[in-house]
Amino acid sequence: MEKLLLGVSGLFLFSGRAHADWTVNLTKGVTEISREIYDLHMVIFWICVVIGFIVFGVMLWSVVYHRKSRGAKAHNFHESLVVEIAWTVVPFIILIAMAVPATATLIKMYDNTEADLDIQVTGYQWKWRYQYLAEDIDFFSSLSTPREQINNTQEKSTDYLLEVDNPLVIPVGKKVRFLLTANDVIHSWWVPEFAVKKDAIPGFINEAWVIVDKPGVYRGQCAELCGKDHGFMPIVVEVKSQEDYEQWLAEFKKADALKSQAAEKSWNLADLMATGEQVYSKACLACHQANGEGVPSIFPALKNSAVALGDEALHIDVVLNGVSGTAMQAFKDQLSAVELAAVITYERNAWGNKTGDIVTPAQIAELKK
Amino acid sequence: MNSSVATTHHGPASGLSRWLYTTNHKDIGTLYLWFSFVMFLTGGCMALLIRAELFQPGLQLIQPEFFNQMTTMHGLIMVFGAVMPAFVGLANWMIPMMVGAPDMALPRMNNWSFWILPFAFSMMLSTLFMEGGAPNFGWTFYAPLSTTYAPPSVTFFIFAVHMMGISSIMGAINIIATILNLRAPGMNMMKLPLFVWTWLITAFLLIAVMPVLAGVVTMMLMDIHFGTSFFNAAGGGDPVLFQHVFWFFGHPEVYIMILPAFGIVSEIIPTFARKKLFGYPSMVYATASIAFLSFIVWAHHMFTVGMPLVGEVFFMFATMLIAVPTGVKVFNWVATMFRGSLTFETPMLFALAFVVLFTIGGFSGLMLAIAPADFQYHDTYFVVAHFHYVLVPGAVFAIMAGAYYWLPKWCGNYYSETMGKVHFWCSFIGVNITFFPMHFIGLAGMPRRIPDYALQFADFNAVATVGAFIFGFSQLIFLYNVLHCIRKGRKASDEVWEGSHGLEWTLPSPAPYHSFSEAPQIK
Amino acid sequence: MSRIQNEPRWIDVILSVLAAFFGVQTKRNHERDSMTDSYWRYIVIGLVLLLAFIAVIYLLVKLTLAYL
Ligand code: HEC
Ligand SMILES: [Cu+2]
Ligand SMILES: [Cu+2]
Repeated sequence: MEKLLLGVSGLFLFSGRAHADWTVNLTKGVTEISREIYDLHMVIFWICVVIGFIVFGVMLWSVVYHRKSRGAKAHNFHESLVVEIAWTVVPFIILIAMAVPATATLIKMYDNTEADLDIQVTGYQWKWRYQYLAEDIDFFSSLSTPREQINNTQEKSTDYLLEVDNPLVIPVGKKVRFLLTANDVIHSWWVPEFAVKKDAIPGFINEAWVIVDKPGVYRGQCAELCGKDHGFMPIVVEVKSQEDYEQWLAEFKKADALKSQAAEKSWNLADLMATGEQVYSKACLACHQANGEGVPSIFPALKNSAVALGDEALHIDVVLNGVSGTAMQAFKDQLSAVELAAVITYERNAWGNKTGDIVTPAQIAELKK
Repeated sequence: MNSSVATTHHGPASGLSRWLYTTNHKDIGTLYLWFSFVMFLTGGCMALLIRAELFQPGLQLIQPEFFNQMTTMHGLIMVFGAVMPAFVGLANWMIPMMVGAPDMALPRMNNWSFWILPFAFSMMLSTLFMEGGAPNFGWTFYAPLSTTYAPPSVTFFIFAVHMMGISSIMGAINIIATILNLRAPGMNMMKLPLFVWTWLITAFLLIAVMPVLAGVVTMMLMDIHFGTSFFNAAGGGDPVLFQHVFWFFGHPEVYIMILPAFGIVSEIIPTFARKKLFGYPSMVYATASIAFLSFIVWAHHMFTVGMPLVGEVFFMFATMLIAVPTGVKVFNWVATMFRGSLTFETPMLFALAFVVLFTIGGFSGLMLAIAPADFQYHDTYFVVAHFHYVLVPGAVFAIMAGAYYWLPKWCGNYYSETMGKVHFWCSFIGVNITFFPMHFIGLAGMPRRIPDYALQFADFNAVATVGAFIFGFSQLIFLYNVLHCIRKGRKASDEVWEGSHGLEWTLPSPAPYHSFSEAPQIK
Repeated sequence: MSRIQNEPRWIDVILSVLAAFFGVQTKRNHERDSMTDSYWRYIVIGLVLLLAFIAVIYLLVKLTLAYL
């Protein structure tokens, strides 16, 4: 048993040296708080190791020397008030000694005042939405690892399952405050290097903050079971220098403007179907499935569904505004007019739903206003 | 484990009706134990399926929906179907024999509390074949994933939980009534074996918290079918309320699963150390206080939900304090062994492994109690490692230890010591290979309950899967050993063990169908 | 072991419950406690002291937060 512990502590010591890729310990992270937490973690770990050595040591001693086969005779003491009080008081004191720095760190973590930048983070079933409250920036971020890699038909990339289409971008050295909430079920926004893990709860807003020291790309995952694709909603944060951050802001806004222009262009069925298939596999496939047949009793089929074959206005309404109280979300803010038009057109014409209907981006743009 | 036909009075009825109508504590104990073993294997198969899927990154065997159903069912079955009924089974067998009573105080109710269980679990397992699949929201079934977003089978799950709750409460009432009223003359509270003490306290905990669990699932039922909004923010409800109520049940529940284990280990270690238990009074008092305190620490499972700072600090302090009396029990066991005269039969091996590995689980528990650090550990494999250490080499090893320890008394024959040792070493090695690496992958950042993971977690996941298969299949050795013991084991003496102590060992082996029809005299 | 005739005094009950909270008890007190016929006093005191304990931790929390 002692060997076990030795081995463990050995492994812990090794981390970060010999095997950068065999991570066995908590990350030190890139914020003041994350380093404090790392220190707390190591202190309590070593306390446990020391207590373990003593307790298991005595036990091993008895197992080796007080065994009957060695002729050991049983003594018959079975009480000692002094000893018992001693070994109750000592752990008690150790714990109080631990509680003080832990509380201090906690107080810092709860200091949500004076942020330089506020970002609202909303958990959706299996993607994150980021809204920069002071800027006109609002986008969704979802897994970008291709299905083929998950299904093992393609080689897995280095950032397998930890890559997204639109990462969150924040400036280095600034206090960024996250306002967390959720649209459907409870999610939890976790980036280990920031030591930020906060539940995103529908109907409530939680706060967390971070000041990152070093530019870089930091990855995390949703930490609260949130349904089928809970394992597939990663978080990627790009921390940029102030200049790079501002440049990103400008580019983002330009790209946004381009998107609304695209809605004005005229689209034919083939183009809409092509775009629609892409959008479908990104935004709808997780629930309604690639073949449009859904999952019985949970996610309805779109193939041959009354909605997809019936009244266009109703279909558009379902996709734009969702069905409240169900997993069907409102996609109005998640997708651009072009994407919405394309995916609805796609649903009305794919898998043998040959209605021939075209829903135009202009039509949707009108509704989105 | 069938108790052989008694020589006095009437013996058991024959055939199936014996088991259906029995009010005999030994028969019912046997039923509970076999039931829990079947559930243990069922939940174990689910665990192996989970581990097989996690052997390598990528989706190979099962799809995410089904994976979530497996983690949920595995948890529910192991907690409510394997561990709890096993302890009740041991209580049924041993408590009357330990306190010198002829049977449990309420034998008919005893029959009923058992026979509810197969129905409850059939209902629960039947959800696997329903449209929309089985419950897929984790054994903690957080709302609104388990209400608004749940598959239709959730209603069956709710009724199954209600039935298990009724069964547990009746079992608990029975145990309390037996211990308080049916003790033999002279068996005062101070002489109660520790197993009886820990069960007495556990029974009170059960009565206190099972209704809370029933309450929370009823609130879910109302939300799902009757338009209330207890947990639905859109209707003015609060999803976090669910967690408070659930964990108000859930934390005492973890003690329900560990206190009887403390009791078993406190019986076994003195026997094989040939020395009295060190600090018996302290053990009793600390167990009682743990029971009280277990009601004020529940929110340590919820450090990341955004509680106010005061709440956060309060639950951190309370949790750290409760760790002290819990941890100190370990010192008592070690002190009992110190300067004893130790032998290492299978029950002792399991008990020793319990002490060491449960302590490791306790250490990670201590780490989890540090609230700021918990922000990093919460909902990762570190937590999975923690509670599997306290539940598998904790509760399950204690049950195994108890089974080996009392098996000769139950069926009159010794189990095969060699096979027992092989079973022990395979389990011991398997358990550690499975759960130790989970500490690493948790710290490295792998969330729990995910069907697929990033590449840096691959190596340790593969190791854990190998361990799980070793552990899982070695339980078949146990099964074989028990069957072998019942059918052709070596005859056991009445004391069974050289250092045995307590009333149960004054009975013949196997214990007659009706024991202590006349109360024994205790000096 | 000598049977104690009169029931334990309230103060003894309180001390016993405190000992339980601390997790250590002497054999002598345990003997005395187990001779009593009614346990309700222990349970009531247990609950009261649990509330007191909650209050103490709460105060402790308030103090730490005020001074840290
Ligand atoms: C998180 C799972 C989920 C995702 C992602 C999702 N849906 Fe749905 N969808 C549902 C559910 C659940 C319903 C059924 C709602 C109800 O009960 O009326 C539904 C219903 C629908 C319906 C009505 C079907 C019918 O026959 O009643 C349409 C149309 C639809 N979704 C389109 C889409 C489109 C387009 C997308 C992608 C942009 C999408 N859905 C993404 C879960 C989802
Ligand atoms: Cu999520
Ligand atoms: Cu707990």
